[in-house]
Amino acid sequence: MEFEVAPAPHSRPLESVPLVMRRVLYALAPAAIAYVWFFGTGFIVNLAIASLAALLTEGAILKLRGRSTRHSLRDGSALVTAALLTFAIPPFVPWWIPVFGSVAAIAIAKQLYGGLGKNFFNPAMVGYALLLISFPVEMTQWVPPRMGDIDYVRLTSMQNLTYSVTGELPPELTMDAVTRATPLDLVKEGVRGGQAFRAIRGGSLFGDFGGRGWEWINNLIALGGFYLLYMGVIRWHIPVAMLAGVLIPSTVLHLVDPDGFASPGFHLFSGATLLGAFFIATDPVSGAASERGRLIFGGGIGLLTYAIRTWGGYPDGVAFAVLLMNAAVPLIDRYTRPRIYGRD
Amino acid sequence: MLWNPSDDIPVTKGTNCIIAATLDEVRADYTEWPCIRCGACANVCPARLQPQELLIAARARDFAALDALGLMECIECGCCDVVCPSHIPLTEIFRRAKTAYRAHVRNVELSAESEQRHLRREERRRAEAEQTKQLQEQLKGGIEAAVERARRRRERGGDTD
Repeated sequence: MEFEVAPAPHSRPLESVPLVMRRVLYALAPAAIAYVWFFGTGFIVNLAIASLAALLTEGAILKLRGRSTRHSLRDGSALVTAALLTFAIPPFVPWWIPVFGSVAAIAIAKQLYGGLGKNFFNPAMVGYALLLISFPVEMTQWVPPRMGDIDYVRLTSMQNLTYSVTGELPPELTMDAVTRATPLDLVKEGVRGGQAFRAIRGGSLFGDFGGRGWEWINNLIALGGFYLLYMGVIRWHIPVAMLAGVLIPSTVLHLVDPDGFASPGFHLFSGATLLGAFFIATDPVSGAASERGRLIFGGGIGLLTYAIRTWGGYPDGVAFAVLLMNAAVPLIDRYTRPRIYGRD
Repeated sequence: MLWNPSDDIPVTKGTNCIIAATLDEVRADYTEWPCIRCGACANVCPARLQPQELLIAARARDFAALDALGLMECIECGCCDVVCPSHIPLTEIFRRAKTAYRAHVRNVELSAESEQRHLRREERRRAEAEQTKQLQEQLKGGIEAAVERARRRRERGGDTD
């Protein structure tokens, strides 16, 4: 009997790329359910559209590049990109927003650079940043969370779907009746307008730390993050460094001027801080590789996020912070290589 | 290996080891995904190398980078292979890269050596040419002196000696 020749070591690999991507999707599931509970079924519609667009784009470009579509589509990375993009965009947008975001993320940010593993920038954040800059009006259509005492008109799932597909609201409603500023927006505009942070925080949209509803989604995102840490999909360096990068300046400035600067708890539980720390900045492809590099990378994202939120033009800064630090990764990697065992 | 191993081949004193594994103990297929730079390999590397960067340098045959990244410090333990989620045969790639690296280093040494040899030869030839020229000039000087002596003898007239 003849045997096949194979290189050593012959042991089975422990992990696989599809398994890693699947675990990321599992980790996002609880937060997704909470998202649907608080902000309606628009999330599901967006997720379906974004996933379909991402898979089709990936398949089409793999075909153009003459790669095996079955093998590459099976890795699940396009679905992770679509899911992260869906978390980033408002749940109440016309259908072409998730399509544009997905196509930009997969075609421009990922496949044009050479596909999985070759992209310099986080694909979901490129898609989101392009959407935010190109369609600022649609990207502010956030609905308030489902809470008994917040006064607003809630759309039914059917009305939400109709808006997604046709871009039309029921005739008796206006956009202003349906959407609300996000907590981050309120704080930013309020503080700019001279209001005290503690007074703004008294509003009905605010809970213990961040926005109501948002806090719960962020709790579950942190839970998913701990699952990823436990499973070894991500390591602690980037989340810890990024959270420190947000919390340290916000704590110091909040202690100095409690009315001019938002509290660290608010920063932690608002916007994309936790999603960024556990799911976006930890993208291995576009992030730093060494441990020291990851601390610098994560810390940079945290500081930039805080700076953009506090002094920049956008209410949240995670996407831009991640993209800026992505650009710094080759430099960080070059100067943070660990000492090789046995060398000076 | 030059032949496909089969159970007809005897165990000789040159045989290093025999692995008796069932099919589910060994790797079933060798399809791979692209490297996603997850760093799992760097995490387990006992030599504290960065296999994800070595991989790029090895595939690009960038020997300067391989040297800087410490390819030759790789002890081929195979840990990176086992943890790689992309199923890239890293150890095998590094083993081949080491062979290529050694060949490259040897080629560099050989070419440096032959350059030196060439330079030495040039130097030698130049010196030889110089020497020949000097000798020729000496000879020429001797001949001219002899001709001169003969001419003077004729001028003094007739048969001396």
